[in-house]
Amino acid sequence: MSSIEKFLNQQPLIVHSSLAQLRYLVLSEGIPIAKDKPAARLRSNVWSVLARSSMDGATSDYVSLVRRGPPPHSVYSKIKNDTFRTLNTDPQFVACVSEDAITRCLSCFAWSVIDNPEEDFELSTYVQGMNVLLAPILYTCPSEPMAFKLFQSLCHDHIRTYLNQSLTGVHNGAKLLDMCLKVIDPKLSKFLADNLLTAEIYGIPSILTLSSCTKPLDQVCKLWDFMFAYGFHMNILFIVAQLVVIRGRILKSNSPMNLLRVFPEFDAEEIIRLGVGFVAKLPTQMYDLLVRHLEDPDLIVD
Amino acid sequence: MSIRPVNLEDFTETSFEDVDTTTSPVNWAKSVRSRQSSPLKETGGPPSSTSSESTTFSNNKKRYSTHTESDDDGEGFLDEFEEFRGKSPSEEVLKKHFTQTPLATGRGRLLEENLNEVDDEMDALTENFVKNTSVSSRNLSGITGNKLSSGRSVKQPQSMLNLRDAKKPSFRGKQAHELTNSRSASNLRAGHRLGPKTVRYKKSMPVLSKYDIIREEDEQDNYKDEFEEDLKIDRNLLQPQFLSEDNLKSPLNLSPNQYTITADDSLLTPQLHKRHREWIKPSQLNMFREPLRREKRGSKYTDGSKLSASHRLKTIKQEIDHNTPMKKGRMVYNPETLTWEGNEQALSKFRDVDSFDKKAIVIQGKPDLQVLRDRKSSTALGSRPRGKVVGRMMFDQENLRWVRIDGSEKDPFAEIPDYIPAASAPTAFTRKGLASKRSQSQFGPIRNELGGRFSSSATTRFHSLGATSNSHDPTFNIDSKTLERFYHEENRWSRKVGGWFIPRDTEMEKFEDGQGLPDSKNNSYMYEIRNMVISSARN
Repeated sequence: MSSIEKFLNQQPLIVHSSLAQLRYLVLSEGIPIAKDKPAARLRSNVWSVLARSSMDGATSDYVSLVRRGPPPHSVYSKIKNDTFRTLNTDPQFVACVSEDAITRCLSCFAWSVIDNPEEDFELSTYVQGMNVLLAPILYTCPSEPMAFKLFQSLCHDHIRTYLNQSLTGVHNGAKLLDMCLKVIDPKLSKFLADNLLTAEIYGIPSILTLSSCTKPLDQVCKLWDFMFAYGFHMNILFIVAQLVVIRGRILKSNSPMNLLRVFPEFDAEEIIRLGVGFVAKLPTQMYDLLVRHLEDPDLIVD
Repeated sequence: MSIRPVNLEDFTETSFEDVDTTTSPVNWAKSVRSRQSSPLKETGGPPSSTSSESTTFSNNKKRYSTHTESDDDGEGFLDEFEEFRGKSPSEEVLKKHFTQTPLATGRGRLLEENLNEVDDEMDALTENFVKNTSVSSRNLSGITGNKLSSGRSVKQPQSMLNLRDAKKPSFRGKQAHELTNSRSASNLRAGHRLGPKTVRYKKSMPVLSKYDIIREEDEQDNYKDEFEEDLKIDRNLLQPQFLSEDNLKSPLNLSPNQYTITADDSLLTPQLHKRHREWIKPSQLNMFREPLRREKRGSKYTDGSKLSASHRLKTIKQEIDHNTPMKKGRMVYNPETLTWEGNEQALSKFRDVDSFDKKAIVIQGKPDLQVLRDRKSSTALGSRPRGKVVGRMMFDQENLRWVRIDGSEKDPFAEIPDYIPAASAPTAFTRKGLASKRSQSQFGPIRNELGGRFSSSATTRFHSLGATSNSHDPTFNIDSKTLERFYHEENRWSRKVGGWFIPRDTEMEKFEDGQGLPDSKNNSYMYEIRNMVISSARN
């Protein structure tokens, strides 16, 4: 039993400080890659604890939403249009998660958004990319209701600016990606800018899906471990890290966009190490913007 | 007081001068008591050769100062010990002091023993003190036994030692007493360490024997004879719920009278009949007989006449019982069919429960129950025509459900249709799901043709999933097995990490955002990594 598991199984005396310890354990030791069900359970438990997403009543909530069947046609057709190709090139994922499960979860999410319209802020019932965003969660969680609950928590509490109608947060994230790259790797940034390649062009999928569009999925899960612990704003820096890792090839390439359309497979530990290292290079205001771009839909990044 | 000079005399007699002048508290009492009233008594210290060591003793002094009057004696006495300790309580020192006689070495060993105890607690020290005093008296008794009794009796009211004795009179007194008995030095040593305890054990031994364990073992047979009847009665007195089925069925539970009866159904009283049918063969009964009891019985009724007499009497009595028509209230016992008759109407309600393949009971009894309830409500509740009321809940007879009286309740099953498609219900029931199993055992796997409604909300919940208007879309059908797995995983989650979500301290309130979950809206954790990186970069 790993120390994270032991730690997790103890009831925390003071939740707030125990959470900080858990984060540190995730950073220092990491959660082993899920080869079997118990390991996947550990990961999903850690995620739910870190995301402060209680699974209490998840099943009955989920079942009552599933019972309502597919959401209105306009939404459902969009969902069905995407589900079948969700990570369909990843045999491990396809073997593990059925298309029906993706459809059900996304439909339930649509219903939950329809049921609870927020006045000041409107989440989309469905936007492209949600299916990929859902994939690591469904892949990790031992049951659909838990995956749905965690997905809901992620969308509502952690990256809510990403999922409104106009994807404000995602576009802000793209701007921030450009800014961060400029600070961290000016040469690469200039090269990309010279090729008219802005983050808006190459970065949106990775931003919106929190890098889950990149392979392999197990490495994505490790990346998510860190981001559940320390915040999903770090995803921007991880994208920078992925760029930096292949910078040599980009700089030499005649058509760099071919390299950037789909990022190459990555090693999560290397990316995390690089990304955390970048934190020190960022000015405070820029780090502030990184944090706020996930929370403030009215944030304007220049 | 008056005895002390006498003690001194005695010691001189036994050539113990050195020992007695230094160790005997009696001497100190004598010499120090004259200036006992002085508050400076501690600093004054005992006028002995130990003055050089007195600084190291300050700690003990302090402790002793809590001990009121006995300080003088104790200090002096302990200072003596300190002298030995300061010079390390080696054999040499002891030899130097106690080489003369074997008795002396014995005493020296005792002192050595005491020396080791110097750092011990207050009680231990006092104990030593007592022991030494008593030892001295023992020595006295060894030599001049006639003075012992008077010496002890006079000592008693004298000082704190004896006051302390009074506190723990049980073993202290006994110990003193035992020590006065002639014991060798080695015995004393053992007694010194284990003395109080052994005495205590000894004392408790008679108490243990009060429970008569040994006697019971010896007289086991008698005991069985004597208490067999009581045991039977005890079993009868037990509440029925404490008797397991097995117990009831056990042949050992039958009284001997019952299982010696010839296995003839007609001879038995109706009460016994059903049970007896299971034990119909005497050979089977013999198998279960306790050997011991059988032997005992054999020895008890060796002549056999007694047995057959009682047996015959009982047989006759049962034959009378059997042929006498039995009647209790409106019930009549029918010896032919071996049943009670007279309550057929009441039984008819249960018949369907026994034969599992009919209607679900709750629904089946609906018309009858309604009649009953109507009658009940019209009589007992009078003005309330709508049904039974318990607390703030009322039974809605039309929909067969409980509702709140004030009506402010949203029906959680409102969206769930009341019927199950004929196709889906049986397949669902053949699943091995826990929930369906439960409902099966309670209500039988049947849909009701009257209301077409499932009687259990559990069944409704588990089977309506496929029963919605979208049942044509298999994507939104969750079978009961999957559902069971969902619940199982959720339970597993709450077992493992549910504790992380229980608000358990006031600290939580700071982070609560209406949901009781810290950090859900608080972004401070997003700065944690930066703080770590920045602080590590500074170092």
